[in-house]
Amino acid sequence: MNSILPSQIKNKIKREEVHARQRQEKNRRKLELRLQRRKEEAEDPSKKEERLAKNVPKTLENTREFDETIVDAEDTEVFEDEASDEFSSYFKGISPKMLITTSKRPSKFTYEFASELIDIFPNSQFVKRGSKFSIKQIIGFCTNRDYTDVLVVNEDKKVPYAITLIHLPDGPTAYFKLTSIKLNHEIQGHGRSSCHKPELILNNFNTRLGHTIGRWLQALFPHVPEFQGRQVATFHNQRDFIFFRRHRYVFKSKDKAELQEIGPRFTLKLKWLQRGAFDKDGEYEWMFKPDLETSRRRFFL
Amino acid sequence: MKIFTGDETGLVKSITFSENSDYASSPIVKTWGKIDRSKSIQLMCYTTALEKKKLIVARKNGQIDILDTNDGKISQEFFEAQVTGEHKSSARFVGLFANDRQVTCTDKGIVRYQSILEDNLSTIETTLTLAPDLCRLRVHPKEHHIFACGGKERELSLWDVNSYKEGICFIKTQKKEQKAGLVWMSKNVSHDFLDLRVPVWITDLQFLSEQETTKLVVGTKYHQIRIYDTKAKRRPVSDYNIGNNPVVSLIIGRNSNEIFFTDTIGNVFSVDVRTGKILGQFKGFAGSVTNLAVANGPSLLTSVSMDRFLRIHEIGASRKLVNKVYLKQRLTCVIVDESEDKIIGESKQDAEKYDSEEENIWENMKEIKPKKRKIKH
Repeated sequence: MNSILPSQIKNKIKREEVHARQRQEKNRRKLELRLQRRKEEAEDPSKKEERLAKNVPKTLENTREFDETIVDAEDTEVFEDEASDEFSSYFKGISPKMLITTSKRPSKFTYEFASELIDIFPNSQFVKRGSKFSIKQIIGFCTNRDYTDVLVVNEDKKVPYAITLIHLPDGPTAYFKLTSIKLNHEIQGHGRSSCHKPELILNNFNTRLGHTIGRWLQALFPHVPEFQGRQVATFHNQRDFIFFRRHRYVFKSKDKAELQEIGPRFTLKLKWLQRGAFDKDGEYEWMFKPDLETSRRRFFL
Repeated sequence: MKIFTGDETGLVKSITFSENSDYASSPIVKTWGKIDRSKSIQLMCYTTALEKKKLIVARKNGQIDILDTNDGKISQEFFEAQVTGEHKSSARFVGLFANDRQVTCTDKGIVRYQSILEDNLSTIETTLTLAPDLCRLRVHPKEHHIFACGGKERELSLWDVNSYKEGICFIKTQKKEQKAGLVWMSKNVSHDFLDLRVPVWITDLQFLSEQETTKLVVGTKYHQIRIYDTKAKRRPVSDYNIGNNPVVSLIIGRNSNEIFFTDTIGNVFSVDVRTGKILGQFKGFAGSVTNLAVANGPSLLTSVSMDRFLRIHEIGASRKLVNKVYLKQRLTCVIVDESEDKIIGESKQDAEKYDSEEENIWENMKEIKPKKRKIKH
């Protein structure tokens, strides 16, 4: 039966019939195989492990182009460098203090998003952006008031589309593209956040640039391990996109935890990183340019 | 070829390429010094006046070290008392040059000529006080007594140390006795189309040729490239507005008609000085390029950038990236040592070989005579 190619049958009704029969048979065989495998693996769990270990799909991440800037775990030079960088004061115990503001004349949605940002970052404050002051002036005011970071939600066409993050007093400044925003109430089955300080998960910030960004995101949350409230904030980097998610976990049994999502969700993508504190003429440490994107398998974070 | 780089954390790295001029191969990298941000390297140069080639490194905390080029041992140490890295308003080095005398300049406008020969150490020979807010000082590569400087609201000025007399020389003052030593000073370009004054902010400058002391090229914060000829006039001979970002570093290319300059977002342009047109752009940079150096006769452009890479490009028409080396720190200075190279000689031999081959071809060629037509009778 298999030797007949349905495409060579000229009668349409017959062709369809043969084709359908062949498909059914194939599915049935597949199902049988799967059931058999399940039975075997239930008897002998090592077989399943073996199969899973063998069956690794090829993805863009695991076929990533070689990058020499990926930080080695034993690279003392990089760690010594990091020990004295701009964020080192946070790791020595100075807690972060953040100012959140928007671009001038923001829309309602941006305010809503900003209000959820205050909820994420402990010890942060929202200040309504007047029309008087430039970012450069705001940086001056914040430095005088011992803020460690300024976050500006930039808006275009009444939609927040970028985040400018400025570390004080001497920089750096980063500019992230902001996409896929979902506020808390838009998420199905969402929970309400509590005032506890969240735990933090940072995933896949591997290169030297990624380390800088990762350290910075870490430095936005107070460094006191307070395992109360069971809230976790996650910055997950995948293919240079940084996904933010927030959850509450609960251990239902010994080997199963349940998650409840607390919003918002959003995605960041680094566009540039500058050395100073928001200086138009300052030197850029890293800037995305189209000619850097030589391959789909090249990532920078 | 040996390349030395200086970085933000005060490390000096020496990058050695194998002798058979294979620049695409991975080099040997040696690191000298310890990580200390207060010793961040601001300028580097090197001198041949001592018995061996020595590297001179100017640091953020005012320290000037003379290093051995082979093992990086500090042989001498100076200290510029003005520069202390603690305050934000502290001075930084804007000019460094050395032959037998070392020239240092800070942005407060203090230029120091100091002997580095070991028999008469630490005797400050000459100290010049120029205007503050300088951004760059360059000493002429052949005529060491002549230097040029410029900065924020400081016009380009050319000085001669030999005719300098004691006293404060503010560039702006026009009193005659205070201008001793000043050879020439530029004049700001004429007002713009709104009849407003054009601001001055020189970020880097170079002497255009080694033979003359009169021609200079200047890069500004307002992305202008200006050519000055001190013989011709006080205003720039030509003034080009290129790109959108401030000029960071500037260097003379293969000849005095070509310059390379970098801006803050990591563009490296090759510009024809005569026309002001961009001949091409070097690609592959992710961060701002802080310093450039030409190498290998010159057919290679080495550059260091804030994205922690040393890159080597071909200068020719392709402007291809030959090699890049990850050096783990934000780099500030690069210096190329070509003393162990014999490539220039080789290429000359090659050229001769090529010439003789060409002659052989001409000699072996048969002479073709026009055939005589047979005339039928």
